[in-house]
Amino acid sequence: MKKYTQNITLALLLIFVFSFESIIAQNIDSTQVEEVNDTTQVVEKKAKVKKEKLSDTTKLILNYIKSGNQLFDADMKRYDKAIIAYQKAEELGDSSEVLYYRIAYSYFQLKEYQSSAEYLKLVIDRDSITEFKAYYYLGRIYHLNYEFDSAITFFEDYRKSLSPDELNTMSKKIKKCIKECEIAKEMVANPVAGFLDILDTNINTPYLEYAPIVSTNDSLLFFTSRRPGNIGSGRDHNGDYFEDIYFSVKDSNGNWSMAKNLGKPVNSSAHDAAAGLSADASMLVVYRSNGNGDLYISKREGDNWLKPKKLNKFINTPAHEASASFSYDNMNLYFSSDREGGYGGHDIYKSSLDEKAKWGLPENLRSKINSAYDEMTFVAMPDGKTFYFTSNGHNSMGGLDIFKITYIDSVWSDPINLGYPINTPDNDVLYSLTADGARAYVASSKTDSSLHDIYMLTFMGDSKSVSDNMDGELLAFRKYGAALPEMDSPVNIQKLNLTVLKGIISDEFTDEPIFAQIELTDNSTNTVVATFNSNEQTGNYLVSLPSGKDYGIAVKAENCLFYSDNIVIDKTKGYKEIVKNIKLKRIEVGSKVVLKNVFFATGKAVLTESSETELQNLLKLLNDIPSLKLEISGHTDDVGKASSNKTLSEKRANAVVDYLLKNGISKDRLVAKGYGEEQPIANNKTKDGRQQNRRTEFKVIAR
Amino acid sequence: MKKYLLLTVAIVLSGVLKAQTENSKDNVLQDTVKVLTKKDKQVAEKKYNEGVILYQSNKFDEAISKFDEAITVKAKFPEAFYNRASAKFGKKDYLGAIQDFNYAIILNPIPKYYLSRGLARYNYKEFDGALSDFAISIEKDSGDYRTKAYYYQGCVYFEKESYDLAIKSYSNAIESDASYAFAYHDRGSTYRKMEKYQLSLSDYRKAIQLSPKMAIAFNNMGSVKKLLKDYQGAITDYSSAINLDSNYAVAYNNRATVYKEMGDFKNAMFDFSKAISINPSYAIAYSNRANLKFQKKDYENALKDYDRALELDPDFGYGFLNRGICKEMLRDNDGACQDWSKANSLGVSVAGEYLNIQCN
Repeated sequence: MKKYTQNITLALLLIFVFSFESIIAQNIDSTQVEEVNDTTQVVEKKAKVKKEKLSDTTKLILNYIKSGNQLFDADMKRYDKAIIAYQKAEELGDSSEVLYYRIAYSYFQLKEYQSSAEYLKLVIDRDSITEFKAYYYLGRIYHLNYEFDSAITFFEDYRKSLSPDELNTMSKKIKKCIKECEIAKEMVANPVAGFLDILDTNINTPYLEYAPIVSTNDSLLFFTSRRPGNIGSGRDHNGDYFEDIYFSVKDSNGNWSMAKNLGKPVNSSAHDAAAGLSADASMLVVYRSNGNGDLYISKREGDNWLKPKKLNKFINTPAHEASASFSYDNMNLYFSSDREGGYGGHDIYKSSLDEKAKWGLPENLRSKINSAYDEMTFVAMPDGKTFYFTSNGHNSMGGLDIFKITYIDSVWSDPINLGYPINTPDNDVLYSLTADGARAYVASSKTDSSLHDIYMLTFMGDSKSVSDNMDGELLAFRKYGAALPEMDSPVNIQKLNLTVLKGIISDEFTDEPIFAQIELTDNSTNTVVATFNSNEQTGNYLVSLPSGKDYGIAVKAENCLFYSDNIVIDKTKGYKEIVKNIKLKRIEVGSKVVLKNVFFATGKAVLTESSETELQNLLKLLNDIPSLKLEISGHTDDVGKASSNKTLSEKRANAVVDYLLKNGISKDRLVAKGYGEEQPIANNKTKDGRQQNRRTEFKVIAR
Repeated sequence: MKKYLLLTVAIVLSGVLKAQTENSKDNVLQDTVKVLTKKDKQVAEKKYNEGVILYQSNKFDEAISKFDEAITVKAKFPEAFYNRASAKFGKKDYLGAIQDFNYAIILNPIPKYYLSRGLARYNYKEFDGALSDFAISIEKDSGDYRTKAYYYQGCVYFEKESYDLAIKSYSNAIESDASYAFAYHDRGSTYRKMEKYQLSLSDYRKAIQLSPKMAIAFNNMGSVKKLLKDYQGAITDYSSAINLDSNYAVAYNNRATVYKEMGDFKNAMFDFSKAISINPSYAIAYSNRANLKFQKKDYENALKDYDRALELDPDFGYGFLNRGICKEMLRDNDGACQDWSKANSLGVSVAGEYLNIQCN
């Protein structure tokens, strides 16, 4: 789960290195390389050597450089004006490395980093270079601009340019710069969740606002501003107004009222800055710049703040005291001082009220908090265990950062960097929290050109992350729908592909309907599949037959010769009707019947099995009428030799006679005759005709 | 429906009567036809067969009315009860299906019928009844129904989160039929639930080996690889699933979550949108796309996607959690708290923590 990013603007880029008179005014930019006097000498030396031969232009250039140097080197630095003088020299043709470096350095001091970087690049792009510090300042600028990898490269380049002696003094500083860049990279990649909202114009103006201090109940806000209307109307050499303390109260709607100057006697004609507030908002710590920077306390009496009283000599020393704050019970005062005997730079000290209600001998808060660098502010939370402080040591990501530390069971935890974007590569100081820890007030600058304003930071609690949902059926049958029951198959139904065979059975000569028995044989199995009768009155018969079979039909009636026929029904689909009217012959001498269901093997006189039913019918006829005598005759078509046909027909007639004899019919009742092709009943020129002519017949010769 | 049936019967009867009077002189006809075609006895079968055809085209309602007709004509017709049950099953009327399977089993207690009733009970979430039916199928059959009963037994145990028993059942199914890809696949899913990811991958692979076009196995294999943070492997598997089934919205959704994890927001956005275009009511894909927009700090548009997801699925707990977080970023604290409250009531416990800390 990745931390989700917060809504805090990323435009905290290039926050000014505070030009605040209070707190960090006293050379606390430990990363700065102060070393420009050499160059002054170089410039002027160069001018001296060539003095006699100078042209008017060169003289002019030298004059501009000289006046630039005066502004650059003065106690009251005027880098803005120095730049104007130097740039006139540049316009007249001076493109020396020293000139470019000084312009770049001036811009850097004015926090105009982009311009500074342009001139620094002109320095490092030269064929030969002596102002190696250009690498360092480029590193600083890239660091402040969140381009950490480039910054590291420039710091490395600077280290490579140094002589062993220089390296001795500088290597620690360069190492810290690189470490800060690495920490910054990580912190920017893992930001803290929260919202940063700028306070409205009741608090913020186009001038500087910073050092917000909020009462623990979030109802009273003090801050320091350098805006017109300050007490004494004093301005510094840059034209900026002196610091004064302002305050605002929160109305019932939760809005901060129009900020007011806290007025005399808290604000004086000098710099007056808010440095700390007691938890009960009864005491305000004020920083004043007189002397070397000292701390005062103003007490509240009703709505009035009384004249600030300077803290005693344990607190204020000839060193620089930057800020102070109270413990929740007002019994301890924590303050920052760069007095001797500390861990380096400014350290945080704690002083407790003694029995006479005086601030006693302070103790250094030691190495968990105090580093070799500067610790500038310290805020105690109401729980008595949680503290916040600002430092440019520890694992700062650049300049001063805000750290959290706890003191539980007499043990200090390791300080925790509050992370980006509360902290930035630049100085982040005077962090003020509400008692519930839900909100904090900080001073920030949104762009590199605007001045600091007061922001409210709302923490979002634990970091939250939206979670994606993976998806997909885990059980295969659910995806592929195989879970439907396996259906029972269709049942077999007799096909309706039937053929109806119907007709009328009548007397051949009288046409009278005959009541006859109809026998249907499946010739493939030689079994009788149905026996039924024709209608007595009408002679009608009707039979439905499954298609695709070869049937034998035999019709018998009293006093009639039986009739037989062979019907092949195709596998046609649907309903089909075959009309077959059958004429039966009376049993009279001379009547002839073709035995249509008597079959022989091709070209032979061997009866096939499918002839059985028909022969049985013939047998039955002879048994039923014992007086009956028959001539059995064989006939062929006219294909082939007449003599062979005759022989074959004779043999076939004998085969039938033999069958009957074997079945008990006496020899004198039967005559076998072979007529060959002599007695055709159809035209031999057609296939169908020839088929009809190939036949076995019987003829009644006696009854 | 019953009226209609009675009417049909009446028409048929009157037709028969009419035919009889017409042919009163001709008894031969009746007898003959009866002998050869058995025409009258097959009304139920014909209706049944019509029902089967309708069932096969998933026309369940029409199929059911054909089976109704068949059963009206012939009450002891287990196949008709069975298939009517199956058609009700197809309509997800599991209770109705169970009742018809009961009749079918009374008439013909065969393993296949028990298996099917088990499935209906399973879908009706009557897990114990389902397990008992599967057990009977396993006992009575030695072939395919036994194998399938093992498989579905595994599925029921999976649903009951009895993963050890599920593994046993699936393994039995595999023992009965070594080429049972579904059983391998589902055993893989069970191992995944047990966080035995390597065994899971191995079973998914086996399923694919047996059934190379089984897109779901590729998809699930991808998801296991995602859990193992083998993002490249996951992308490959999801892509294989998509190659097999270009309309596989789930695989697009899942691949997108991996692209997102890899920081490839462009492809992630494309895949989420593709999943949504394939299935416009895919709530999860909307919610996931919203998460991506959220990550890109496009909170306004993220909110729109969350809204759509929750419109589609009002019980989507994580959707509410996520939308609440989005609303917080839009500084809508009250809205955020309402959503977390809803998410909490839908069982997303982390939402409860947010509620406690930030919503008084």
